[in-house]
Amino acid sequence: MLYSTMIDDSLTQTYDNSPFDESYDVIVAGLGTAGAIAAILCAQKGLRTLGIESLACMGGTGTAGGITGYYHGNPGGFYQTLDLPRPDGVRDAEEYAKRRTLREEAVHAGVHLRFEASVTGAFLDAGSVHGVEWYDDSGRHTADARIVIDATADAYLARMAGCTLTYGREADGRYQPYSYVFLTANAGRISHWNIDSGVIDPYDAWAYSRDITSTTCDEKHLWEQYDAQNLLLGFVPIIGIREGATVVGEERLTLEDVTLPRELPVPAFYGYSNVDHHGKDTAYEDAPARDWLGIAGLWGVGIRFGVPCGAAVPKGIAGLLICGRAMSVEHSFAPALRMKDEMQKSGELAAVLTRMCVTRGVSPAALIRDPDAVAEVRRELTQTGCLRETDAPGLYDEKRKCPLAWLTDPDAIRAGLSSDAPGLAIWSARRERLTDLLREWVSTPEMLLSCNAALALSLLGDDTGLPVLLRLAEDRSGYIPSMSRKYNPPHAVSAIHALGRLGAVDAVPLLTRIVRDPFWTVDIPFTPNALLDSPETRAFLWFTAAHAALQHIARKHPVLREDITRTLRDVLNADTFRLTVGLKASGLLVDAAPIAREVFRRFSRESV
Amino acid sequence: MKMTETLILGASALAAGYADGSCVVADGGILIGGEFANALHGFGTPPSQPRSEKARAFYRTLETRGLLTSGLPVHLPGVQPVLAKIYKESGARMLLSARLTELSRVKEHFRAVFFTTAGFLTLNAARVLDTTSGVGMRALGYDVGACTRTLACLLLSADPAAPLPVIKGAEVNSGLYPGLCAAHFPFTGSLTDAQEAVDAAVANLSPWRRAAVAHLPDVTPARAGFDAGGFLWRPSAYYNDPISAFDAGTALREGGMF
Repeated sequence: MLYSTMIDDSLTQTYDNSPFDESYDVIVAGLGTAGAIAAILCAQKGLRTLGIESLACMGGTGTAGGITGYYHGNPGGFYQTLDLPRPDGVRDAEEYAKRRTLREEAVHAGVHLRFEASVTGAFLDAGSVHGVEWYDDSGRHTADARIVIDATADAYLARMAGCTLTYGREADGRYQPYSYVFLTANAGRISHWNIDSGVIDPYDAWAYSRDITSTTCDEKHLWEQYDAQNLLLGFVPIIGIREGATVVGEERLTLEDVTLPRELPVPAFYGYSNVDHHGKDTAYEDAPARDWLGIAGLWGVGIRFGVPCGAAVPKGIAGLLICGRAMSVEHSFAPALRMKDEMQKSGELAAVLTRMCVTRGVSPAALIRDPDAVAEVRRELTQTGCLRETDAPGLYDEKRKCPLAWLTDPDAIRAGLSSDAPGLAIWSARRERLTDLLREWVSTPEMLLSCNAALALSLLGDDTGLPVLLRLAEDRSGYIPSMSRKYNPPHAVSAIHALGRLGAVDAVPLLTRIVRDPFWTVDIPFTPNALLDSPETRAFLWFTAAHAALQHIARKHPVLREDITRTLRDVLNADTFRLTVGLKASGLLVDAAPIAREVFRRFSRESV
Repeated sequence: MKMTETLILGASALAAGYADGSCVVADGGILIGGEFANALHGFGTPPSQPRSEKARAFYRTLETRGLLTSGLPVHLPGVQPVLAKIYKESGARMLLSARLTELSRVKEHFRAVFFTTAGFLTLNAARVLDTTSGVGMRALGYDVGACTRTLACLLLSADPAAPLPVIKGAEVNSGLYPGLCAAHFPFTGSLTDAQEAVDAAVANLSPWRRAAVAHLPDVTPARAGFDAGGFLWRPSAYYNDPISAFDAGTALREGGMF
């Protein structure tokens, strides 16, 4: 048997043929939002189940982590029977009630529970996970199982098993900001404060510890003055990580797959969310997120999407299933596949897949290649409401509180492009590939239609609208469309994203000017909003957009690479270079210069 | 592998008094100063004149921020961010969410293995200061001796004048602010069982209600410590309040106890 673990952040494997201490049908590593549901259901389905959890309770972020309410998500499934209904109809699972309910259900179902225990290694044989190692206060333990479920949220077990993972965004490997939740009492009312606190790398133990220490004493957590009316009651024992590594699975959920007309695998369940990215540095995001958030301004559009069975099945490693936010989803869509409803549903999916793998004696990958088996999985999930066929993929306008549909009629698309909420029309024009019409509309004197048509053309890789985009960026327009209920990018910033996407050589002088003087853009009056909360953040948006665009242009035009690299190096290495940004949902000012430097460092090391 | 001068076990209040740039401070969780800030150990009244200047500065910080009034207990939940700032400014390297899986003497130094978010991580240290309730002691095979184990619960009342609740089997202490108190429940079984039992025990205490059940147990050793040549055990929870524990840490540093 191959013992596989991480030592000093490196995968290390040695042979170990010691007998296992215990034996199960299934081991669930992590009993948080997803794993608790997986363990309970596995046991209810008659499987001998071991659940291992590092905290002293079940439920993870949804209980001890202080995130008791629901945000977005597509409700339905077994977990709903565990959430006590509230008279006011608000979906909320009171922390202590839920963790008690979860444990009672687990004990009743026969789950063998190990609390305050860390899963530290995996045992593999012939490319299949056969068991795990864990430590608790009494020392080291091992157990084998026919299926192991990684519900650690950050794919810790999958890493130790040698699965292929993706880590954050391409530009610099960063993830979305995390929260460090704290409790307060104000006039007798107890509140959990879930505010953005910075960016963390869960796989760098030193940086992780340094960042948590810094966050604990930032201005949002360490107050100047405490008093009887404003009581700090304490901190939760786990940080609210929104995104870590994700597993590369047999099937992978992508933003473009669910928003462009593509054939998709059969869903095991449906999820719902906007692309709820918490970063403001859209410019450094991967291309799909840049297009969706940065060019089309669609942050506030909710998407109902199918999650296929294969998103829970890692590619190349048998005997292992994934539930929770480490499922197979690309970075750009990870902000949508992380809500509590979906995480709990993924636990139910993992339990159903496990039951079928164990009873049929097949690997997860073999199981999901069998259409009859997938049909049976779907039938089982339908029985609890986890899968509802009525939940067809669709869109929802969170600002106007109404369903949306992709536009297919050119007249409707034209009208949308002429409006101050053009995002849906921009993306619809891309879906319909209306290149000829867009070229025509770009040259009309109608300002909004012309500009939005140019943005839509950029998504189709067509540079007919280049002069319009240049003008839009050059006049430093302070105009902000209103597609989303918040976080709408200024039109000029969208234009800069589009210029970068097109590799527009003509834009280099303008972009160079912006990176040399990002505050050049802030003399135009603006009303602060959730995205543009300060002149510093405004400069940050323009700078990052121009910086990223220059790098994209250099990639498309190698002849310019040396000049652009020199320009960026001069700017970023200057002693006077300053860049700060206010985090979403907290306004906490963060030194963003290291982010820009890291993005550039990686760019400058790319092979040409 | 580079040698760490001092490995401190427990991101405790005592360790905060000792830590400087030569130290690595490792903790099993992320709750800095958790023995006071979360386990609510002591809930006691600190001495108004700590011995060291560093501890006096800590006292003044708590006082200025409204977390301490002379003659009254510290508002313990507010201690964590203050200690985090002290750690940050100390230059010590923090290693949080680090489970100690092995600690051994290797010739003239110590070898500690932790399981962290990055996997197993080995540290060599010239000396070890264990400020926990005995994690390092037990790993080295020393006897920790008797400990009392309690689990705390913060209780809140909308009526600031409400008399303290009487809870069978628990010790209840008033807090710094009116309308806030802490109940300490002795327990012997698992932390999981204790958390559920405490939650149930405070379910009907009107006008008091549960504000938070501690995530960490309060484990108080009967002994003040232990010294074994390069390994020093000074449990932070031996002290009754964070100022005294912090002051003990500064005394260790100034006294060159190793």
